[in-house]
Amino acid sequence: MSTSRTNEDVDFSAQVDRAVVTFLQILRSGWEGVATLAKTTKQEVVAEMLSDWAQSNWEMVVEAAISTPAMVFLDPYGDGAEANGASSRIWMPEAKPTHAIHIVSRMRAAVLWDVLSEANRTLPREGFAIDRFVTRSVDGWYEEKPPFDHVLSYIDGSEALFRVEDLEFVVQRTQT
Amino acid sequence: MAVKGKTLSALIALLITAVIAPNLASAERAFEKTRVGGFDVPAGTRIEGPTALSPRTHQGIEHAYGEIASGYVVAARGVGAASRAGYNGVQGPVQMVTRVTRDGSRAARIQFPDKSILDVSMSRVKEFIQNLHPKAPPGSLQRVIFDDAIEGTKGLKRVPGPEDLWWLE
Repeated sequence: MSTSRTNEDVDFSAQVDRAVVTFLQILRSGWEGVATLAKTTKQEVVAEMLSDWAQSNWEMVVEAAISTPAMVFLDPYGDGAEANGASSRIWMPEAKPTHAIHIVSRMRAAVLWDVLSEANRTLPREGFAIDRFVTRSVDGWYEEKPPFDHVLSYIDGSEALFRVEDLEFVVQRTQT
Repeated sequence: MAVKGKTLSALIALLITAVIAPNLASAERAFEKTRVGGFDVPAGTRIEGPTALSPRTHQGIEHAYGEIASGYVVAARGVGAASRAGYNGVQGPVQMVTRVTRDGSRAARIQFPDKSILDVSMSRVKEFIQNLHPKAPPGSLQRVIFDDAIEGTKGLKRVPGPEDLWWLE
């Protein structure tokens, strides 16, 4: 079986990576402003307002950019939206995820350095699913605020943090 | 044939007496020491309806036993290793904050004495428990991934059961 990639494959891969990086730019530039607005509401709603905002951009930027020609519905970003109750989506709340954004090594390495566990993590062929962008905190943990220079993934249910600069973003079909 | 039938009945009775019943009793004793999912499970209660462990409605002794056995696992892990939000063996008052969601329905965020959180609205439930990652600062929470989650929520939301909606009454 040939493993060579066609020009179309390469173009689409580049489009996925560009879409996620564009989303990251929006996150970096808008997060503090939205967080400030959210803090004027009840404390319990702050996280939900930020989640709704992030999820809406995830759908309108990343999902939209890779939804041609076929319709793509991505796994929710972070905790997903709260605006539609039982759904984690903003647009078309009844839609089920068909794909997910994963991370692989930008240098095509077989491992990624997990800054939380301070160990190399062996990449599965499909990469690790992205949960959200985060920032390393001074206590060695992470928090959700700019500059969003790390990706949070869950490996076997436990957190792992990877530097954004080491990563390429790819799309994978959701397992059913 | 009649003898075979009697033998089979005797074997089933022996199985229930020697194996199932003692384990069932043991599991129920474990439940006496704890609360799961934010509501009391009185001593000796056989769980046949929806519980916070599983909102599915089960019928029959096998399912009831399965529910109690699940509860036993939660209790056996002890405080600090609970897999679901609830008292988890820690007694004390809960802290509850209510709100109205953007779709206009009632919601409540209940923090239990063990710091786990049950976040209930009319349409979904989310839970958070103590984060046991070795690098997690004290007090950090992690989200609960539900086996019976609503599809498309990454396992983070489940349908509320009566015991969840009780908090909104």
